[in-house]
Amino acid sequence: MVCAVILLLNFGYQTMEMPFCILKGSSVHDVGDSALHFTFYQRIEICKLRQGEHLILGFSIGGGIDQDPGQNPFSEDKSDKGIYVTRVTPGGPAEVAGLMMGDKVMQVNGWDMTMVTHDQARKRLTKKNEDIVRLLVTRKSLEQAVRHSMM
Amino acid sequence: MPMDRYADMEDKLRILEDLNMMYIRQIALSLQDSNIQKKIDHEIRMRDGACKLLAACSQREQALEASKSLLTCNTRIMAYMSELQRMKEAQVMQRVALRSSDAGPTDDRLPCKGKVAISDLRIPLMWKDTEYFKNKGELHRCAVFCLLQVGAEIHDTDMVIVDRTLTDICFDNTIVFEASPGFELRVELYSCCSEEDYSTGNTPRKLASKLSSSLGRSAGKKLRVAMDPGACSPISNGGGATLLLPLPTVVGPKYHLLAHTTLSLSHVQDSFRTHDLSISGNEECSHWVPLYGSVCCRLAAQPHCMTQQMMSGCLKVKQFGGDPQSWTNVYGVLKGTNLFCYHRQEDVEANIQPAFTISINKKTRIRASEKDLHNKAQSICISNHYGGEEVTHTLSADSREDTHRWMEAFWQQFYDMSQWKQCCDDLMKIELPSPRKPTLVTSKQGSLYHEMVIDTSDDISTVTDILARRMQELELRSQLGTSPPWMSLFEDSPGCPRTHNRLPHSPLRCPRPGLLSSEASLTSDSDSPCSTSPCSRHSGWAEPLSLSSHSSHFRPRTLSLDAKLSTLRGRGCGGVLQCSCQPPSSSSLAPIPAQRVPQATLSCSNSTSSNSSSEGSHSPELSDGTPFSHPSSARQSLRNLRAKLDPRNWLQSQV
Repeated sequence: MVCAVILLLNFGYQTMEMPFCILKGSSVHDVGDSALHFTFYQRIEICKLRQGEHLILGFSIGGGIDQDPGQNPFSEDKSDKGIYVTRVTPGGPAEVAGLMMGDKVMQVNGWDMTMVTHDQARKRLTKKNEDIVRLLVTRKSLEQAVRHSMM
Repeated sequence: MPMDRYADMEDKLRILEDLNMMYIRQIALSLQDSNIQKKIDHEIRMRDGACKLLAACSQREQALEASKSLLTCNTRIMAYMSELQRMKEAQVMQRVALRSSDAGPTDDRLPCKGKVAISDLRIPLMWKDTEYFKNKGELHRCAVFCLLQVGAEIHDTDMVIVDRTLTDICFDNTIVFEASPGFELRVELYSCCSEEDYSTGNTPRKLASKLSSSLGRSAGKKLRVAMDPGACSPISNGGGATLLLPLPTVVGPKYHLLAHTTLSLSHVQDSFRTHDLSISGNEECSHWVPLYGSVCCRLAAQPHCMTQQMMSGCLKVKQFGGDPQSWTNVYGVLKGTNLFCYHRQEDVEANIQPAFTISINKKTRIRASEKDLHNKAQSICISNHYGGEEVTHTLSADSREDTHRWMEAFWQQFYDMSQWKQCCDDLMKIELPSPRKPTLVTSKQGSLYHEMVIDTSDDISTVTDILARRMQELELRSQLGTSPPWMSLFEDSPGCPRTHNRLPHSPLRCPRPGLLSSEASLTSDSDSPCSTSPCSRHSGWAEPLSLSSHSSHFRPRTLSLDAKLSTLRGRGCGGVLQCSCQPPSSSSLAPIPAQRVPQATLSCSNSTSSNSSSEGSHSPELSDGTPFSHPSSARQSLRNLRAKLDPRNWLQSQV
């Protein structure tokens, strides 16, 4: 069974997308490691919900390059300063769209989220003129599921 | 609480305190004892001074010392007041007894007093083994000291800063009391966390609760007359009457009772002994120090009957069985377990050996004999067993009154020995405390090695600068002499040259007299050479070890949001992490406590409960099943509590 996953190669802030192709390559995040790595991503599209005068997505984030990565309970690599989903409001737009707690947010509407401060990340998610956010997330369980399916 | 109500209560308290003092003075006058009154006045003056100092001082060590003085003064005041009350009641009882005249002549023999000395106090600590191997940088430090009380005599030891590098708390003081054999020496260990900010918000609430509680068991009619039956904190003493003692409100470090024990005559021995401690408080308290549960000390006693001449006078001594005419004129001195018989009175001063010595110990038998045929007066027979043989000496005094006095002296001696028990077997040595000299070299809690931090970008000249500065400080400290550390607040701090180097503030760790303010001032303006490195911007929270982040010094933070967040995080999460972004100056040699570093044992709380929905609460320090008795659940709840109080350790935003 092949999961609908897309493998991406990231070079800086540009992405080259190769749909439905499982490529083996190293992601730029694995610095200094010459072995081959897989990184699996999933696209999630969240429609913002209007609550009063706010547009909410229904999840919480943690992390950032200005944060203490050692306190991130979701990251495997405790020096990972990326943005992680720490909570998903039950029944909210994020849960409906399939976002899960522990996901690492790699992109938001094309903007990179791997080297941002916490505040910058929050701002990129809460732009008032955007009704839909398209996230690119990665998930440990996803990676494991695909690995298992490939064996 | 609104400030005007607070001010009202302050006024009420002042009035009550004045009335209280009037009452005390009345009692003292009626007792015709101005001694205690003077002591109380003195302690109140000291207390006021300590309060003012606490309010004025900014150094943590000075505040701790001042708070210790305050606690001691308060305890002394309460003890003196209780003593006064007791004396008053005793006087009243005596008058009642005289009037009723039903009490027959009682044998009011009182045992002699003696010197009781406690020295070499040592309290072993029991750090969890995980504590030893944690090298997270900062130490949980507590300031501790002991309060020793016999009756109304209260002494305090020096303050010691305790951290996990210590295996025992040692107090070097020798404290000597004057006590009777039925003494009770109460040893109390007080501790105070040495890192917290002093909360100013608690005090008015305490005041309010104290004032709102009623008088309770009101004192006798005197009290009603003497003061307005307002609400205040009643302190009851042994006499049953309550004395009102409005405590002054203080802002600053507060000591809490950590452990106590009571020693008495049965614990007196000429060697070190271990006694049990009753521990109040548990791991949850901020002032907790893990005690093993016992205290070692040397408790010695020198009764006066062993050290002083109890009786002396001219005697005629004859050995039993000897020639009836062979009376020897001697000058007898009763001291300790011996009756020394000197040829002449002058020999005593001249330290010449006595002619002979008669033992007076618990095995001696003394009786007054019948009138000797050859003597008009009664004589005293003293019998001893010397190696199976009974030897009897007969003493004869010049007059009947002298004989009576000698008999009385012997009886008193026997009584004293029966009361002081093991203290009269041999004379115990008591080393009187020598006048304190200023500690010149580094104290036992730190060495130069620990106190010097050398940045990798420094060169050898900065090392010599540090050494030169330390030499200067040592000289200055010796000049300052034995003034208590907080006196330096009122002295001009000597102008030490400020170099560009960072001097760590581990001198604050060690309670040394003198230079605390000036040493601290050295660091405040240091310009770190690493300040421009990009890492240090983010490292405010990351590195309690590194001194490049001058966030750990007195320099005020910049107002940027990042800086603000960094300070908050720095307080909350010091020492947990292994930050890969290591600023270059983290090559410090030993854990140096930074200025605002929180307790290391609790720092791991931030990672777990800052995320309210995270299930995986990892506690790397507590996952092992420690054999120690403290439950880990209590620790976890404390960690959770701490994290709740400081939730922004790993920021989370809702979107």
